[in-house]
Amino acid sequence: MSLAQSVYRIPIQVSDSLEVILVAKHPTSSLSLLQQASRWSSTTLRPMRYLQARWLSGIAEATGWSYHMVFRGAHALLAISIVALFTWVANPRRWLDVAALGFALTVLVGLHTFDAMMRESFPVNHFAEIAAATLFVLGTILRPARLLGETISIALLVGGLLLIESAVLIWVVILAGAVLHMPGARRRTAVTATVIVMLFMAVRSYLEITGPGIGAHSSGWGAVTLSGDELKAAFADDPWPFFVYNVVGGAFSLIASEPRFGVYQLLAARESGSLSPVVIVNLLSSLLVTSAIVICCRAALRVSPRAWGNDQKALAMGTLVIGVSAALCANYIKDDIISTAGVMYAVMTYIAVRWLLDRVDTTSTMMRVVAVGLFLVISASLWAFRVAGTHYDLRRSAFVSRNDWALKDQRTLAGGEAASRDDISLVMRLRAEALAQRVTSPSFLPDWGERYWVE
Amino acid sequence: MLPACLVAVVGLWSILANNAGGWVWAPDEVNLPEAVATGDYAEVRRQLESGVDPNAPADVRKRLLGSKPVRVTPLQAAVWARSPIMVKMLIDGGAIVSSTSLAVLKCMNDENNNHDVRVLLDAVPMGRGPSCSEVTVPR
Repeated sequence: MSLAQSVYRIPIQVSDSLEVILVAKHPTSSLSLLQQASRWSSTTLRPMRYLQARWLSGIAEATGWSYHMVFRGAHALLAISIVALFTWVANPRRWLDVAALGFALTVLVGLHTFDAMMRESFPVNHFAEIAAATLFVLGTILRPARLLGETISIALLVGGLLLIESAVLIWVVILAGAVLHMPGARRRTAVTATVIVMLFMAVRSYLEITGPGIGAHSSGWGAVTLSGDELKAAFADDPWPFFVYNVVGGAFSLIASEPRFGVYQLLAARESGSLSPVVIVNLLSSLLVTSAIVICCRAALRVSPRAWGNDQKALAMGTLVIGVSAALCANYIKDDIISTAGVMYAVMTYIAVRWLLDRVDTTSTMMRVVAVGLFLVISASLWAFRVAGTHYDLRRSAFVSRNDWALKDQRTLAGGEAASRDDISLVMRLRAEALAQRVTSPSFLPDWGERYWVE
Repeated sequence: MLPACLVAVVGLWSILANNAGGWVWAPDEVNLPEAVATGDYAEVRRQLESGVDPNAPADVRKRLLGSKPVRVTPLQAAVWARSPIMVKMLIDGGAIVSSTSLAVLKCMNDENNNHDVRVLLDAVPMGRGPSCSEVTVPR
């Protein structure tokens, strides 16, 4: 609930959200919007982004609720859904499970990729929607197969693919579930999902949609961030070193919280001579949890895959999702892109911590008990600290987002001289709602917050 | 599990206490000079549009401008904070500058030496005002 509150306090953002809300209102129908939006970009096929904005605007207009309540409420509900679905996937039955779940939830919310999902909105964060969908699909295939669950999973895949390309991870989970013979994953669902992904690729090809390529975004390289032009100059002729760097960096960003956006803070600190404490907190907390996951995975590998239970299969699936997410970072690394993998990382944490607690409970020596106890005390404290940082960062974002509405006049916000009267009127309403949203200035937040919580 | 429980309790308290300015997160109620001092453009805009007097002095909490609380006008806070955007926003929003208050602002800016603020203050049409030795600069 406190997370939802922090998310809800962020005003609708000028960047990434306003233009989408305005543009989505123009076509005469949703079908017309679907057709038009499918051809608006040469690098992406994301019509659902505009459809969602249109539908949410329609709710605001029809009910008389504020746009803030509808759009930010949807985002806050999404935050609650992710936590609720995570708990559903974990399915705690014993007090020991509840303890492991408490730990895993701090990892889920404290991870920098989760912060990115909650901080940004387009106008509702697509990556958070994909993460929620992936959790739903995972929860479904961990339970006995049901037609309703399979149908919803396929619907989520279709909707997700039209929302953002990361939805391919839903297909990865369905397919991996079938390959691993998980209880709720039937072959026919996997085949249907595969056909849908192939159709999606064919439609992209028919619409002549291609990937963004090198230089479309700035990205990190070693200790610095290179601009799009600098990346083109360096890697246009031979992009493979950059691709490999990004894929490896994408995976490490998740399991070690380093690099961030492709920049290794440790290298940057070596050059600048100062290391921010947040880097140490994030690196240490992530390495501790990753070590626990690795130990648990090693134990799983000692058993034949045929004898694997749901936990071992979920670990394998999590590893696969992290790998595919890292591959999606080939062109540039961004926290959002690996956010679904971040959720899977938290699921793997739950399994690993529960496994550790189980072993302590049954077969451990005093030495092991002390080691596990130390691990839990240190890492749980660090992750709880990171959770507080997520709230801190969300409040900073609220301040920045609200200020964006104050620094430009309404006509400029509505698109300049060509803006229609309706657009300006809507912008005036959105601006009034944003200014009415009370936020806290970072000047009132702890001075040390920037150094310990913000990278 | 204890740290997670602590976070949950603190989070719940945050929800219950925040709107009233609880101890978990700082209060979001600020007066106009405080909004200016903290770079809160949106709050400045909101207060100006809701009819708050842009000339009224108010107490600014310690550490926002100085090490102790200080009573300043919004324009004085903007000059103290070296924010030309705030100075312009306030003048556009109806802050009236007299020859004496302009002299105070210029003397304050002499101490901070912000070129952009100086340009804005020099552009205010006003006759010759008192010198810095003849006015009291808030500190």
